[in-house]
Amino acid sequence: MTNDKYEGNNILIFQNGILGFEDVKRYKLEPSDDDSPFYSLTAVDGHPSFVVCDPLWFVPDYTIPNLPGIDNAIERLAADSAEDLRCLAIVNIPGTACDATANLKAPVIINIKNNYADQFVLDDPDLLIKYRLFDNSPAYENSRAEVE
Amino acid sequence: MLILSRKTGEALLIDGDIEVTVLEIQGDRVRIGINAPADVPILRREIAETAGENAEAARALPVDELMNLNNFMKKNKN
Repeated sequence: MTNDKYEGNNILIFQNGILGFEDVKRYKLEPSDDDSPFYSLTAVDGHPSFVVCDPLWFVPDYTIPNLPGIDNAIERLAADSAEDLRCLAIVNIPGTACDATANLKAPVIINIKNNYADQFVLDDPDLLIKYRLFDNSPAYENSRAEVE
Repeated sequence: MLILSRKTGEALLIDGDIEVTVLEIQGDRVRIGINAPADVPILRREIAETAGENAEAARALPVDELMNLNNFMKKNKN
């Protein structure tokens, strides 16, 4: 199943780097907690480091088969099928945690069989580069008033 | 914004030495050819935006921020 929680804790190989950090090819992905959508993605030599999240916790239909151009990812990551792929979104935290956004326009896609990964800019004008994680998820509707 | 109509095969010139040619139109997709000096950077806009977003998102090891995010999730669950 493509919806399985991704375990993380791997060295990932970004052959093309991450956009803006093209020279950095090897990152370590580590879960932040037992029951959390958040991971750290840190270059093996320490810089840069990113917070990434499993977008399915926030956008249930953001599944691998639903992503536009996924055939391109299968080919570029030398995967046998979409079932070998997992998806993470890079998180930006401009202020406090409640303002966190995830880049759903350009997810990091991982081939769990060979640990190759790449950031794909998806061809869908409706996907947001800054998707506010804690505004739209049903689990957080009640918390919004409290935060504001 | 300056808006021009062009047909397949027609081109326009920017600043004399940058030539943008419409190569093919198919449905909602246009293939564009660009001739420009080597020192003119050309990027698809979404690539440049993503690189900018990544630069904002990059940080030192985000131990505290991850803890804050997880605490925020736990506190607000249900």
